[in-house]
Amino acid sequence: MPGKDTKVDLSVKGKEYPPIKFKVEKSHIAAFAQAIDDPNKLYSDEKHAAKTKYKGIVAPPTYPVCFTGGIEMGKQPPPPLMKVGLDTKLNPGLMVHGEQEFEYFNPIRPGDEITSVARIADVEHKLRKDGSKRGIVTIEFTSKNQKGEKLTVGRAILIER
Amino acid sequence: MSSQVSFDKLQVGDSIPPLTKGPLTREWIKKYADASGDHNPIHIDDKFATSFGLPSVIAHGMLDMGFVAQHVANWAGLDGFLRKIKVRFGAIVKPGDTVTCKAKIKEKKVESGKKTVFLELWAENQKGEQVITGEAEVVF
Repeated sequence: MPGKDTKVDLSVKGKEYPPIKFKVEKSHIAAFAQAIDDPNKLYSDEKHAAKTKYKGIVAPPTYPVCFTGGIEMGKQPPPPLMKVGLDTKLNPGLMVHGEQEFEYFNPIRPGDEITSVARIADVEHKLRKDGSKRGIVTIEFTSKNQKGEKLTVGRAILIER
Repeated sequence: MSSQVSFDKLQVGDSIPPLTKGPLTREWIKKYADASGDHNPIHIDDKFATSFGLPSVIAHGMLDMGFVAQHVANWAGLDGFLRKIKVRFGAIVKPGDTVTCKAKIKEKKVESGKKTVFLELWAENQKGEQVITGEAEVVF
């Protein structure tokens, strides 16, 4: 039986969300690295990190997930990814996080006050094998520190199965 | 960990040493939920996860990506800068699974003094099923 055609709204492409603020704590960077079981001392050992070209502790590559929002259910107000899901009319029962990309410009450091802006970078309808249409939404997060330096750009692709 | 990688010695087609993580546990996944702030019950609550048709709780895709990023970033060491990483999520990862991260060199480029290595990367579980495929750029 063919799947139902998507209700994903193509007109929301380009929509921008209000900035989200996040303060980076040294202990949180260390806890995040520990949760991945990443032993790199750049993320936790001040003395070691100070002697490197980074001149101090920095965050591991996937740390931006902490300030660009997981898909948390039942949280009010809904965090950005969930909000985007609602705004684009992605079917939550079919939605999966299909792809993720990060580009890095400057390191994330303890004490940083990060401002992230989410934008719906792309909305598409694509055909499933059975000929029905599914929705695909790309959300782009641009994150800057308190000095206005660009740190990371993250892109999450949400796909209806 | 911070291996000394020499751009000049790298050759297209070379594999980088693999990294095996796990086996994953419920406690580990819970720890990642707490650290990342993503408490979606499919990662924490077996009853909820099975009601969704999953075999049990599953690891966050972003934890799997964390493994892959660890693999590439720690291979690049202090001489390399991870400029970009992109992944597609495949098979789910659940407690008891191991994740082995692998990568090979797809392309090398020198442009206005900037040396870039393009990697093809993937991660597989203990059955050899791909849980992640993707690519990365490292600047030396």
